[in-house]
Amino acid sequence: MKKRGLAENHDDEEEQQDRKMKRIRVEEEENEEENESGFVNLDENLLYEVLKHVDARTLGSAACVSKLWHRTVQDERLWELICTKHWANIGCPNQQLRSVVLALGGFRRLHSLYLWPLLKPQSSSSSSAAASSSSSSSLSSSSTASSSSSAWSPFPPMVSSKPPARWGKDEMQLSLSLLSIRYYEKMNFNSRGR
Amino acid sequence: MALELKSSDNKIFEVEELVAVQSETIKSLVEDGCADNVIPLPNVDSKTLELVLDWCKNHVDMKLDEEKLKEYEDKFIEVDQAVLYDLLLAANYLNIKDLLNRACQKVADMLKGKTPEQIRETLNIVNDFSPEEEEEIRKENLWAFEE
Repeated sequence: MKKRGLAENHDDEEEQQDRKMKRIRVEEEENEEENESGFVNLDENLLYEVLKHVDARTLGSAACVSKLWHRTVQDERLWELICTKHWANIGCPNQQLRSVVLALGGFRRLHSLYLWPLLKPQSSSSSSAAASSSSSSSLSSSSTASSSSSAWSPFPPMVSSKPPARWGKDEMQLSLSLLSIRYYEKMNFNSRGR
Repeated sequence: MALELKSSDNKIFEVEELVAVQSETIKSLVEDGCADNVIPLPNVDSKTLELVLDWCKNHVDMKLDEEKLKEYEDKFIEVDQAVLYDLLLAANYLNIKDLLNRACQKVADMLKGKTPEQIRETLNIVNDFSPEEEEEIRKENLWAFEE
């Protein structure tokens, strides 16, 4: 008899605790709703305006946040801003550059394939070697690329010794050449299939 | 010349034209001759409009003192997320370029260096990707996470 009594009391206590927990949880949820700022409703246009001010890495991170953010980050204009930030004097009108780069695959690709590996802060020479090998492996799908990948490797050690200088015409033209080689490779691949 | 602006909660603000036309939206209304009566601003509440007008007034007053203006701007933008969001919307609606830029910069600073999860947490964004989609998108942007 006693045992059952104790068990009943125990159940009562548990019930009370459960109710308390539920109450606390509901209160917490209500508080959360109050603290929720409007940013959850940020539309594509305003998000674009905000993302114009972030750096490349944050932009890459932002692409993974949600479907809307991913869509917004795909906007070539954002990547054009990121790319041209590094180009001091490119020696040709922006409109001309824009049409060339867009025809060859866009600023976003240009950045992730050819600008980021060189421009990102190099922590050690081993990481720069890793960067050069990953970028050359993406190039080495055809014989034309293998010659360019050997020309590629001397670059990273130069960059790691000091903070990356602003790029000029030559570096820009090199990255555009690499982008067009990649474009050419993809063309070749498609025609081989026929 | 003074203009009258009405907020969404029906509060009337009297402002100098010189101050109000920092908003390109209001400037066009003035130029088109539509500003004789009270200008309704249904998208801006009085609390936000007061802040916005303070910004505009100080930008007229401190125009020649860059240092003082920068100090003002830095202090002005130190607000909580809810107010920041309202300022962002108002600056966009009223087309006030420097306020929009400053507010966007502030939000951008909140995002810098954060992982996607951290960004979601900061701004209360819901992750609407399926696990497969998320995996694919991460791969696409792997370079952003390398150290």
